[in-house]
Amino acid sequence: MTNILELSNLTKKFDSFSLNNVSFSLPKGFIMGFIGHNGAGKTTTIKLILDMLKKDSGSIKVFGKDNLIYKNEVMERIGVVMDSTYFVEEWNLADLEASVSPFYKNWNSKKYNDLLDDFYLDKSKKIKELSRGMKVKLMIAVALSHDADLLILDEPTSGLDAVSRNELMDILSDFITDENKGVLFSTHITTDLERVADFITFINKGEIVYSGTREELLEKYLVIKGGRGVLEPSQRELILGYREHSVGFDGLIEASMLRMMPESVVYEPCNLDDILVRTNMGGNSYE
Amino acid sequence: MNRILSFVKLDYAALKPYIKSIYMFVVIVVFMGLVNDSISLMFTMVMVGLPMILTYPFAISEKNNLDTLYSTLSLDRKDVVVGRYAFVLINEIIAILVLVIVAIIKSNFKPLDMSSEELVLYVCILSMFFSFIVSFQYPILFKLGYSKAKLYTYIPMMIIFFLIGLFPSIVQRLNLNIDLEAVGHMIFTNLVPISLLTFSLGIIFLVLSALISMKIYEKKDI
Amino acid sequence: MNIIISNTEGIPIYEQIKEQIKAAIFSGDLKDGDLLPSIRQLAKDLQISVITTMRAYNDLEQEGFIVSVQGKGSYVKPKNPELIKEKKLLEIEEHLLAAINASKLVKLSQEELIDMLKFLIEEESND
Repeated sequence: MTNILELSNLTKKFDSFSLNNVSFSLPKGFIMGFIGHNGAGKTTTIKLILDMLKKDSGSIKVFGKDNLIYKNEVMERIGVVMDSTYFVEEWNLADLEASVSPFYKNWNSKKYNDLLDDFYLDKSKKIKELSRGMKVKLMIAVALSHDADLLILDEPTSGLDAVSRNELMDILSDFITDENKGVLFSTHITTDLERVADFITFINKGEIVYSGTREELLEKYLVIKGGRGVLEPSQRELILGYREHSVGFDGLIEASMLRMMPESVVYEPCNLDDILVRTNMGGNSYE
Repeated sequence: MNRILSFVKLDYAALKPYIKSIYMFVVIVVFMGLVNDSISLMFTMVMVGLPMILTYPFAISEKNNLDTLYSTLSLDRKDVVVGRYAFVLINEIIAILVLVIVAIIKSNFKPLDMSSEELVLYVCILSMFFSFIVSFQYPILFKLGYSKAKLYTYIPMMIIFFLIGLFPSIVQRLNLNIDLEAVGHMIFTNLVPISLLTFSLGIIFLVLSALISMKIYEKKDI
Repeated sequence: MNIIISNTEGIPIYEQIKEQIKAAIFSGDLKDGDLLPSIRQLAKDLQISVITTMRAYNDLEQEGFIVSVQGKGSYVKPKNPELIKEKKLLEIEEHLLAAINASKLVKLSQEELIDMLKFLIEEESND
């Protein structure tokens, strides 16, 4: 098995939204950032992987196995973190362990307790007494305590402060030092992924618009700026998310098109946000 | 099997928010049964209280997104349904045991206001009653979730009370010439088979209901 | 060996890693046969993606500076002095050609260019 996760032509239709022919793969040993606007289909895709939604067509393979036929086997090895907890709020952290550990052959109680210590989570505290950041850490502690090979995180960082977000990235970095593990991380906060993501999959309006390495994606585009009236119409067309203002213009351009631009323009590397905002990938176009 | 048992334990653990009120309920029921002249009060309380308690797992599930939790665990959808019905069965048995034990204890101090045969019959009818209610409610609860299904959960109770209340007048209206005394006599002379029949009917309701719930929950989008 | 990367410079991170490892090899900080940090450990320490360190190591291996052994890690390849000199000569050639092309753009004459080179060499040796 070289791909820890493989989606093929996944389709799911709702009344007002549909996921169309979503296909992408995550090779084992890497972190994939799953980006898109709110409502683009990230959560829908993840719910399909976890069998929370029933697919209309397509295939989902985890660890090389069909996620439905081998559901129990597969779920034992997946750790899930969502943007809100799905535990009984009245439970304390010991109640939580007692309730979920019977479902995992490889539950490691020592690891769970060590992680709670590392995260400064008090075992006697009730879940409803935890802050949002602590809840996320709790879900991670549970996810890491049964020797999971694939971590799936759905918007875990929204509402977290920078320190907590950084701590999360450290945890994921540490997780991926094992080359047999993988991480799928969905977010609309692209800065989280700037450093640590190996692969990026971009989804927009239910369709995949890019899936490949982060480096390739960032090398494909450049931010371009220049003065007013410097561009011919044919040149202006090449610029994505073209924005003209009182003292000049800016936009994004494919690196391969740079030579078509006049010498006076300034260009610099872009980041994921630039791409999200300026291209159709982000769902909005300045045009 | 292991998974189903683990799920039942999870359902019990999930009752934590209600644990105090459940304990209090049990204490009051037992107290009433021992103290009161007639044990029928105790029966009535359990009749009203248990069906309510049996809907709590759905309420808690909805409030705490437990359907999501079930999805993250290595649990088949049908394990969830079977586990929930097992939870029902276990609680029905516990309720019946409590009633019977209290009745026995009480009979040591005061003669009961019913014979032991009548007790057995009432217990079987009670279990059929609970099974009917749950069989009706559960598929709706699985389909709609607690808050949307709540209104419908009152329907089976209403049906039963309606039938019981209207039974004599229906008989009169339709001139059915059913000699109620004779029916009553027949029942009491054939207590054992009638008890078994009512109990089995309850089980059949539950099994059919479970099959329907399984179909419903299997397809549900969470 | 220390590796310090800058996020704000225009140089891609994998390039920075390559340059610093090469520098460490040349300066003797890294000796022949030394074991380099694993790709994943390096990614974790520098808080960057695994693919970035992977790319740096792959390039270094292609360029002949390191050798990777499956299951063990990456080691500094024993230096081949001829190869290194050849590489450096190529590099010098490239830089000189770049200088020549730039001088053409501003219409610098050959003498002016050579004068510049001499001046700079003197400056360097005075430092």
